[in-house]
Amino acid sequence: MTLRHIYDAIIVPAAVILPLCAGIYTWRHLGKAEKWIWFYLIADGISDMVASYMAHHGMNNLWVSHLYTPIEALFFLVYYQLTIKDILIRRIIGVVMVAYPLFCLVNAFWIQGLNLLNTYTLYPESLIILALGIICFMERSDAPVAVRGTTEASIAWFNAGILIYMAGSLFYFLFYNFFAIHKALTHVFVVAHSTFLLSMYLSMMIGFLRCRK
Amino acid sequence: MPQVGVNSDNVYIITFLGMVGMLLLTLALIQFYVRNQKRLLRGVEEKRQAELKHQKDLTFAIIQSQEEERKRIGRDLHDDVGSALSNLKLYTLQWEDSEIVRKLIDGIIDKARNISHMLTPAELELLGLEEALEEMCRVIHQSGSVKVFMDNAAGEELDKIPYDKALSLYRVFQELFTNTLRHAGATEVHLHFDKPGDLILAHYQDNGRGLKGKPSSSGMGMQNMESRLEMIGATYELDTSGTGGFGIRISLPV
Repeated sequence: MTLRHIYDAIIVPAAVILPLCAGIYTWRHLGKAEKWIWFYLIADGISDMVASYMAHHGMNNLWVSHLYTPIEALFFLVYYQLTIKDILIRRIIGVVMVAYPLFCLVNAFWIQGLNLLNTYTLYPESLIILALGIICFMERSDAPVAVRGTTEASIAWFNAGILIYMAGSLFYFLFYNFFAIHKALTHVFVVAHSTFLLSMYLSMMIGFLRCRK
Repeated sequence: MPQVGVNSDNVYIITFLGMVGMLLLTLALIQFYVRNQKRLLRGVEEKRQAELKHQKDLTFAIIQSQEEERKRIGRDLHDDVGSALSNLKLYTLQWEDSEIVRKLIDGIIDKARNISHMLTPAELELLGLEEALEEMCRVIHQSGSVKVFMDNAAGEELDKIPYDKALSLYRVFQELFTNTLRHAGATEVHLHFDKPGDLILAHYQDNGRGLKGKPSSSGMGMQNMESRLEMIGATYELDTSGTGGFGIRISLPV
């Protein structure tokens, strides 16, 4: 097992424990939106474990990504519906919550199929979440976090983590299937993706810890 | 084949640049957000400071107008009521068996003089802070409630304190003595002055119950003292040396 494998397959997936523990530590201070993020991390950890187990036993685990992507998107969409105040945006999120899983279903069975990574759905997911993250920050640019209440500081940390992960991984999601065919330099992007994921976990850990202040 | 190889490399580079570009954009957005937050927080802090300053100015203005009013009432009481009572006393001299009435009038004159004195300490203006405080200590000592010991190692420096500052200090000690008499159950009060360098140091100590965990700024009296000391640029610290009773050290730059 190479150092890269240890980093990608063990250290980064295991790092999800950090924000989860931080969330348990501050559980009674968490609002509804923060609890959604905590449950998202649980789903994320489970999907990682299942995918790693299947990869370790030489099984095709691409369907896990097809199944997990709409679930992940729903967690983020609900989170932003709870944190964004603009009614129109919240309505649009409601429509996306129905349309996006349908698109994932169509993609899984009729467009890309289960033998390719769902890049066609991962890329729009990143774009949607990036847009919502930017809107979330813009809505909060009129008043300082300190005078808004305890969960506002954590929202900024969650949002920053999600933005870094989604923005950093956007091109990785787009070209993943190309990398899978042309193996050269693929590991650079995998390590970069893992690092963005790790930064999101750490950011969320800080976000949970900020909830108690 | 070489053509394909070149294209593959380009896609990797483009993807890498795309990732870096997106990341930089996001980091720039977060940085913008953080800077904006800091600016907003600074604005809130400045507004809070301005409100605090406004409140302090108001308090100082109230204290000053209170002093003016006290001075006016004290003067009126001394000049008008005092002289009216003296005239009345002279008038009663013509009566026979007016001894009781004269004693009553003398009592009223004494009371009016004391009230007038409490409102505007004449000694402070005429003789300086040391004499005024000694007079206050003497009056309290003679009342028999507590024994007061005043010790001035600062010498004439006390009398060099400008009138406004001296009046504020005088009021602070007046408040401290009132608190000791009302709440402390003390039998002794020690008041000590010193002048190390450019400071006048005052140490007030009683042997009463002390604060017993009460916050230092609770109560109107304490707040009033704080405002008066702040107004003249003095600082204070409560004496928690563990000897019991209430103690306070006041430093006034001169």
